[in-house]
Amino acid sequence: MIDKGKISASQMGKMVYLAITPTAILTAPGISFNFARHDLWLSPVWAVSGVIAVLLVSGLNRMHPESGVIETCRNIAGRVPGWVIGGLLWLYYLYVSGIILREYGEFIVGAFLSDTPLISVLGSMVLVCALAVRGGVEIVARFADLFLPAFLLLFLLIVLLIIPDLHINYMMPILGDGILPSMKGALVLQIWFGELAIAWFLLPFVSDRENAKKSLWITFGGIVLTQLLSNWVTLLLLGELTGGYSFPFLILARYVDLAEFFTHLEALFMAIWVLGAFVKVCVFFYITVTGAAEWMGLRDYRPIVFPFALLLTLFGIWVAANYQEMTHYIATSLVPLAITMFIVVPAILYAIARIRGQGSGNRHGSGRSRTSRSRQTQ
Amino acid sequence: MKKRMGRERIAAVVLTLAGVALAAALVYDPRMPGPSQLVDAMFRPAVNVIEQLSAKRSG
Repeated sequence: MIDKGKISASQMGKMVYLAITPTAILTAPGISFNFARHDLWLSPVWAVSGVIAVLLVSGLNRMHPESGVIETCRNIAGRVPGWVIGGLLWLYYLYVSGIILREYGEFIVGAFLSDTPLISVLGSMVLVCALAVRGGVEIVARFADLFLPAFLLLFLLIVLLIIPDLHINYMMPILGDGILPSMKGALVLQIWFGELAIAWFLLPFVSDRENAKKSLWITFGGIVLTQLLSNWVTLLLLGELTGGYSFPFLILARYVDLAEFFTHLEALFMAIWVLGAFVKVCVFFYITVTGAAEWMGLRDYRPIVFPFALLLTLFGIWVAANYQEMTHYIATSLVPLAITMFIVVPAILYAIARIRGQGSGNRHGSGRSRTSRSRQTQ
Repeated sequence: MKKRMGRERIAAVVLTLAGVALAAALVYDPRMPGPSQLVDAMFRPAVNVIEQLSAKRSG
C-alpha cells in the first residue's frame, strides 16, 4: 500500500458521492436533455452501470482486500497485461481529472469571473487540491465529511425555493414517445454512474470493510435521488430551453425570487460548486497520483504530486478548445471510453479472476498465495 | 533504500520535464490535437451511433 491512511466506510461513501454529484448537477441535465427531451426527469432511473460498478468493485476488493488497484491488476492479469491495464487506468484518470477541472474552470469563468484567465482559475484549484492530496487519503476524506452537509443543505434550499415557479405541464405528455427517449438520455448519465467504480481505489483504505458495501449502495441511492431531483426541477422550470443552457442549474439558482427577499442565489450555488468541485478534483487527482506512483513502483506518492499538478493543469487546458467542444466530447466519445474503463476493464479482470478460481471457496487464500509468489519472483 | 529514493526523484524529474515540454508545446500551438481527439478516433463507430441518437431527437 502506498498510503498508510485509514478511512471509515461512511467517509468513503461521502467521498464517492461528492466525487460524482457536483458535475452531475451542473452539466448532466443540459447534455442528456438533447437525447431525452421532456422525458429527462426519468433518465437517472436507468443507472445500470452504477449497479454493475458497485457489484464489480466490491467483488474485486473481496478477492484482493489489502492490495491497491494496480497490484490487483497485476495479480489477476499477470505481469505484462497488468502493467498495460494499470498504465491505461491512471492515464484515463488523468484525462478525466482534466475534464472535471476544465468543467469547474469554465463554470467559474463563464458565470462569475469573466475577465480572469482560465489558467489562473485552474492553477489555483489544482494548487489547493495538490496540498490536500499530499496530506493523504484521510485529509481528503475529512474534507468530504466537512463539506457534504453544506453541499446537501444548499442544494435542497435552492430546490425548495424554486418550487413555486415550477410548471408541471413541462413534463407532459409523460412518456409520450414511449420509454426509449428516457433510456437514450440515460446513456450519457452512465459516465457519472460508472464513476462509482472509483470506490475500487478507496476500498483498500476502509477500516470497517463489512460496512463498505452497504455504504456504497446508500451512496448509489443518494446519487440517483440527487440526479432525479436536479433533472426534474430543471426540466419543470426551463422546459424546452433546458438544452440551450450550458449550466441549467445555475439559471435555476438565478431564477429564485421569493417575496423579493431571497434573490440572486447563484452565490449560494457557486459556494456549493466550489466546495463540491474541490472534493471532486481532489478525489480524482488522488486516484491518478497514487495509481501512477504504484504503477511506477514508487514507495511514496508525495514526490510526484506537484509534477502531476502541473500535468493536470495542462490537461485541463488541453482536453478541449472551448466549453462547447468539451460538452460535445462528453456527450459522444467520453461515453464509450468511460464505460470501457469503469465497467468493462473491472468486469474482464473479475471474469479472469473467477476463471482462475481466485474468488471462490478459499477466497483470501488463493489471492494471497499468488501475491506472495509474485513477490518471491521479483 | 537509497536506490528507492532515487527512483522517486527520477519519476518526479521526468514528470516535471514532461509537463514543461507539454506546456511549451501548448504555448506554441494551443489547438494541438489532444487526448480528446485520440479517444474520439478510437471509439469512432460508437461515437457515430451516439451522434445519430441525439441528432434524431433534435431534428
